Amino acid sequence: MRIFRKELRKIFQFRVIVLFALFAVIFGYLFFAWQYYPGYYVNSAYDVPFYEELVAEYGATLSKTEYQDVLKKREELIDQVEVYIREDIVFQENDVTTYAQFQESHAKEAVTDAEMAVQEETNRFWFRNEATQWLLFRIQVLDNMERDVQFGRIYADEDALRIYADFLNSNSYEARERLKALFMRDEMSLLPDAVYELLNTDFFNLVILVVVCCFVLMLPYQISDRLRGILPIAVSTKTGRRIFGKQMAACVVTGGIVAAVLGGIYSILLAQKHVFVFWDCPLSHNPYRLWVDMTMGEYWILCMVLLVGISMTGALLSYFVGRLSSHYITGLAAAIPAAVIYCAGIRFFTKYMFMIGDMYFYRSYGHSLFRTFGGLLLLAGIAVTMVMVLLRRDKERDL
Amino acid sequence: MSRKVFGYECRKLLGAWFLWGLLVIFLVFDLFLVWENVGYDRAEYRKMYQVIQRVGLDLEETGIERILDGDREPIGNSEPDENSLERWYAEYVKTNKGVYDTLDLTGIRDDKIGMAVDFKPEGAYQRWIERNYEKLEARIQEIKETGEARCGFYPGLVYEVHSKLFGRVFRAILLELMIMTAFSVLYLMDYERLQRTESIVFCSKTGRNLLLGKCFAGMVCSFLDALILVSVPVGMFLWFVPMRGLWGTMVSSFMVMEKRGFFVYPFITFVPLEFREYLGLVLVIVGLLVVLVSVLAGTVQYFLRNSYFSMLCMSVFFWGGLALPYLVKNGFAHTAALLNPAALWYMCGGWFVEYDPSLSFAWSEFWTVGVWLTTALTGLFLGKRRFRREDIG
Repeated sequence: MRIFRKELRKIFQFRVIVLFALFAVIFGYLFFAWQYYPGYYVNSAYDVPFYEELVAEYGATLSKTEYQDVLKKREELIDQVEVYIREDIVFQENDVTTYAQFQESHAKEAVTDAEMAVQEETNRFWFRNEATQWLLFRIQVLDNMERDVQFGRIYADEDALRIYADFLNSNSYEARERLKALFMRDEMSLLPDAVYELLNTDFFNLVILVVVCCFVLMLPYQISDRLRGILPIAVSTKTGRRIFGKQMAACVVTGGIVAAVLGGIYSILLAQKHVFVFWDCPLSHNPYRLWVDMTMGEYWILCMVLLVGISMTGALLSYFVGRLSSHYITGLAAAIPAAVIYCAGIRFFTKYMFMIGDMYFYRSYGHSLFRTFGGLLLLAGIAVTMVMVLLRRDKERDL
Repeated sequence: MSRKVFGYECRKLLGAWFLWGLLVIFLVFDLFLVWENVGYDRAEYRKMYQVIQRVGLDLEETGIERILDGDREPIGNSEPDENSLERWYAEYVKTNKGVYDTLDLTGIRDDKIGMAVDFKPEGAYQRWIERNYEKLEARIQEIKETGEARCGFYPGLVYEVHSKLFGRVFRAILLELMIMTAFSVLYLMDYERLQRTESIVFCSKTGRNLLLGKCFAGMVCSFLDALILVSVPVGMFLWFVPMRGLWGTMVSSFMVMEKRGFFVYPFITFVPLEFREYLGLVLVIVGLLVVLVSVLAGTVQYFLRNSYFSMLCMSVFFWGGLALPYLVKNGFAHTAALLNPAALWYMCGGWFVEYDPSLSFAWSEFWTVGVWLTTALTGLFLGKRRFRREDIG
């Protein structure tokens, strides 16, 4: 255990950690979607705060009766908008008095000067008038919910299913049954799409960061041992040869620590943006229906567990590359393709994590559940095999 | 360093399997990139090339009208679809030939400034940008008067030859080349320390000067890498997209025009540039970047004396260079922040043309390389001086 602790201490070099921390900050600043949240994937800055209000009022989901209550809220919002519409001079001159007329004028192609003036005014209401856009975007959120209900994506009965469910290009019986169960749910999740998109985007960014961190920490540790001529001394005794196994274990533990630290820091950042308000919201109300029932919180925990696994596998891979490299630059040169291929593999296997299909484009991703776990296990298996071959060779190596 | 020792240093690099391996991996990636961008549609590019040749480089009004009127006889054994392609080309020319007459560069500048987050030029900086755009307006007048905008080329809005070659392919090549260059220099400069021969090599004045020679040898070998990394993918690109006879086309031609972000307007070069001249200038910048990265790597290595940390520092410096313009968002400091090698790499494809309001002056690329090269050379000189006096124990 003492050797193991000392190996860990060798891995965590202060200079490398400082440089990596600097790199991680810059990388996060350049690529993480977190800093733009909820700017990405939402129609306005008002969407997510409105969802937060709804969650505070109704909880993580909306039952059918609560949904009726929300519809009443929509009517109240429309009444408030109509007050502004009736007070506006341009609308008064052109006989636009109701929300329906307002929407119609906004959507239709303006031809005459009067129509153009009205359309310009509708644009002002939507985008340049804070008092009205606040109301209009809230109504839009509720309209989107209503459309989901209308199109049979939630609270569906058998008739609605017959009309809409066949649109999904899924020839799998399991997928159709899963969708049917999701469409017929009695509860609508109040999770905004933006949260799911944020978690998915930044999960892969975190993967890149942990893999880079593993390579950055592991390479100098392994290569400096080799350059100092420690290897021939180590392999000269049976006890010495056992150190390789301990080094490998230290690398794996380091991988876990790296993932836990980076994942933990990112989770704190998410909490700062109030993302965990939606912790209990089921991940069913989003365009990508999932194979499994889970809440956003459970999904994030699973992501963190996967991150730890991915990081440990990355650590094994970097241990392998480090052991075979005779020079720092050799190690770095080998690390570039190894890390890129590993990250590309993870991207390939986790891109459609647990998804049945894309509901907007009606595409099916097949059994993504098995693809994700199967793929990651395959990558882990390859890394473990490579390291095991290396350790076995160490045991029998003739100097 | 004698020529003989220089040869030995180069041989060390040429015998390093990992550099060749990395070069092959990069080459495979570049060839895949070229294939993905133009390889799939190579037949389309060749058909279009024939059409351009038939119509001619000088897009005179009457010739285009004749094609559109259907007066022109099919040439040789042309297939029907080639004739319809010729008609489509003529329509494209007719639709876009007046782009310079309606071009509102000031409006585009204002839109670009308005769309940039937190970018609000004020005072002297605003006036400076306005003056730069006034010069560009004068340049547009020159383009209109000299008729350099009326050269035949692959229709840019569809075929995107400029951005595919100078944007995507060259951006990948440049990044790879910078990595290869840094690796080559650092490998040689850290060689004696790692082979435990530094106390022998660096015990004399000649030996200590050797380190600078290693930096130079790394740079020379990087030019060999550059030759391979540039010639193979670009050669393949030009094989898929024939350019014979089109090298004389002006980059500012309306036919080269592409959709860039939210804007559709021609590439307005600061000076008249033919395609061959543009490619030449890009290659010069590539060469200068190789020199710059070599000198930077040498400088960092002189001070840190550890190739691994030198490489890490250079990576952080590179990413920092990309992030810096986002941190310094306004004023001349923003322009200064954009004048760094990482930003230069990122803007590959927008070199020598109007691209960013903060860099709307001619030859900013050479300014970037020049300023950084001077700084790096100063650092290298100081590092060398320090190393000559250092007790390496």
